[in-house]
Amino acid sequence: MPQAANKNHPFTIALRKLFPRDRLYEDTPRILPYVSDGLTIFREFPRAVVTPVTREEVVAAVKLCHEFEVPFVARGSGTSLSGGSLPIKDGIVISLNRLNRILDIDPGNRTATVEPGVINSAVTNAARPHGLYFPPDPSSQTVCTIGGNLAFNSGGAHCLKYGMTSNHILGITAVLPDGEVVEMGNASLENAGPDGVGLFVGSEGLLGIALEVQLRLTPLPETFRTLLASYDSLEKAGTAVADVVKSGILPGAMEIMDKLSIKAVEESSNAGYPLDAEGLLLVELDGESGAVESEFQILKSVIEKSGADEVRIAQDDAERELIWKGRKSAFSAMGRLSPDYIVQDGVVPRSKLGYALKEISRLSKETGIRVANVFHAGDGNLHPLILFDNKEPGAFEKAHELAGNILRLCLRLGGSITGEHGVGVEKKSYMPEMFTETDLDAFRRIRDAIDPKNIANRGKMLPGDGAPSLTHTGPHPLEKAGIISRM
Amino acid sequence: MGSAPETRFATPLEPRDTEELCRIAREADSIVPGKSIILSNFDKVSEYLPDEYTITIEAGAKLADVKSLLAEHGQYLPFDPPFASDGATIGSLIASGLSGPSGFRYGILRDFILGVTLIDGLGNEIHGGGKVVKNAAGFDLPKFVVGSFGSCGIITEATFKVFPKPPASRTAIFSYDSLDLATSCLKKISRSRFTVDALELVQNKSIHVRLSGIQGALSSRAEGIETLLDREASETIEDDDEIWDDLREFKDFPKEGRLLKLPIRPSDIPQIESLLKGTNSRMRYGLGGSVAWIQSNEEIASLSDLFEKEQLAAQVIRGDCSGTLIGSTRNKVFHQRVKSALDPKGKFPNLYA
Repeated sequence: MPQAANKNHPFTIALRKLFPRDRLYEDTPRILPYVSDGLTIFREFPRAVVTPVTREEVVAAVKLCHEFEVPFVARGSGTSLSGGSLPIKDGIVISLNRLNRILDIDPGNRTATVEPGVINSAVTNAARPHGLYFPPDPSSQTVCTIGGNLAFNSGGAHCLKYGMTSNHILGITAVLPDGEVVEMGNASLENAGPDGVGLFVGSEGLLGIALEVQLRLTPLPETFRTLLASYDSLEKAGTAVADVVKSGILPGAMEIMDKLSIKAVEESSNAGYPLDAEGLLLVELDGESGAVESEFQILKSVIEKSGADEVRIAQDDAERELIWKGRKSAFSAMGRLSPDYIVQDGVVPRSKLGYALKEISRLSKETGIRVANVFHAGDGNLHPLILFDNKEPGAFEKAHELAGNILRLCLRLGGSITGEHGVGVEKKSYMPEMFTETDLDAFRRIRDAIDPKNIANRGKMLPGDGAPSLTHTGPHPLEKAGIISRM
Repeated sequence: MGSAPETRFATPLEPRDTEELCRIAREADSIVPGKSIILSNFDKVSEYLPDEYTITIEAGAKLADVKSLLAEHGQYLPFDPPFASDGATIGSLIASGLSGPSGFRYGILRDFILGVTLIDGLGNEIHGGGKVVKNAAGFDLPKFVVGSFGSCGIITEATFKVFPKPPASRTAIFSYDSLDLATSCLKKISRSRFTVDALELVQNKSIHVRLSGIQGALSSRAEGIETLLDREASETIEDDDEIWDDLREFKDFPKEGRLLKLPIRPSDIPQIESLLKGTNSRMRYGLGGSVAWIQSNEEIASLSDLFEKEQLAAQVIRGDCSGTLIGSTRNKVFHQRVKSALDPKGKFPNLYA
């Protein structure tokens, strides 16, 4: 809860001079929507929330935080699944949703210039009349913001061919945590000198706040061919992915869902998925019609040989959209199966997908915890949804332990603890298992060079500083101490 | 080893292993990677997993060898790096941040580097990124070292994403009378539905367009571009590797002198032309008009002034002063701050004059 003692703190008084009452929230009812993000199991009350409407206001707020050493969290729509925008106790939240102007669409140069609070899909909506779009498509794209996508290097279903958010950001104007405004990159595809944009994207808010972003736009594919194949085992679906890759064609997307996910999706969105399948593979080709048609013939023959029970081909845009609607609603559909779930996004080498899924299923059986799998198969990006009921004592801890074991499995197979959700607070404690202490020390030195007072999103990504991280063996230490609590 | 710093690296050191390299980095006062230290003993392909589309390579490995190895498995580096025939190593390639014409289709070097191992100015071995095609954990150091010309550390190993090599290709050349017409044609193709591999403006009025993919579809795709431009190609070449080898390797430029990379937008082309008029420079516009390659004998300081006025930044990539950043210093603050973290004692080169 906000502390009464904050009310007359010199910082608070200064903040009130910067922001009018209707854009500075200090009372519980107005702060409440900001106390947690997409990782709803944890919440924290900040001392205040500010909603700037100009970049000057953002810079002023950051400068004030720097002066008083008050930590801040920049936040878009709060869809982070790793707790990336969880507030910091005694810190402030800088909500960027009202910095949401598309400043320029330049079709000739294929760029868009936007403010950080612009919604991901709004970019594509604005670019589409020019035959262009913004490829990164996280499932939350109708609500999540470009600033959030940038901070967490968000992915989506089309990363194998098109890359992640980072591959579509050309230039950034940002305010560093000490209030200095800097530029990285430019409006070109190329760079001169070290790639500052590359480093800033995915830095989880630790290096500052993007104020203006130049995006690379891509011509809309002329045509799509979308195919759905059902299998009597998940392994067969996984092998089919490897076969497609070996054939030399490069699909825009390859997604797999298991039986539990299919059931959840069908109950909520009637996408027409076959309910008896153990594994469902979705493959989509996109590009020029001539090229796509030739590749589609190859794809069909690969799938025919892969032992699929049933193959469905989307006949028109409506069918394609329905297939994707089901896939993109998979997370929200889980509510039908379980009151609570943890979703992880570890990555394994594609050829180890089959093994990883078998291991997850073994762990699920051993612990008696249900795990639904829906994942970006083309790039080995798992999304195990670990189902539990938070009302059962100890259920969360057990689910969290299982989640940790799945991340360790990904690392053991040579992968990563996160493909697209970021580390946030949730996976901090696994960073030392992916990186050496020397690596983490270098990360800290970079952070310290940019943010010497450690006020920008303190306690995220880097283990061992700021708020203690979630542990896999029991309640969060902050939770034990009564500082944060579960929703 | 001599004791005076200036004689210490008179002949380049060739460390045997990482341990020795770290010790040198800890003890030396000044290091110019690629010049005072040569990674000839770091020349192995550490791991190549064709089915994963990934390859991990030590920095001293030759680009030419890596390209042959990938080709044996029907794969390639989609960012199309140059200078393989000049003996470029993987480390020099990353440090100089170079991509070739086909980078237009899927992206440039920074889009394909997944992981990096670096020896920093404290003599620490640090890893950034990962070895899988998708990863969002930790700071993305691999991208930051692209174009760093050794200013932040010594790159010892890197992991790249690779793609299946398209089975066939075809090039159409469209010639125009004026630069303006050629530029507008370039933009038209760039934003069209055609997924072209490479798109370059050569000698001011000739647009080279490369298509690649399945053989059977190439003719109709090439015709589609002719329809788009309402013009017949002045030349169509089916066996087109040589044209692109020449462009990638800058065979259209004299080998001597300075080569610069100037990131631009396609709409900047006429402005660049007038800016450099009378400066004894030659230009080619690559990546669909996103980069100007400039061969120039002009004084570096006067070029820098010209670019500065237009808020453009360029990097010398070959010849005298390679690595130097000229023109606008808009990216300097962020770069210098990160450099101060990786190279706190200032042992590595400073790219800003």
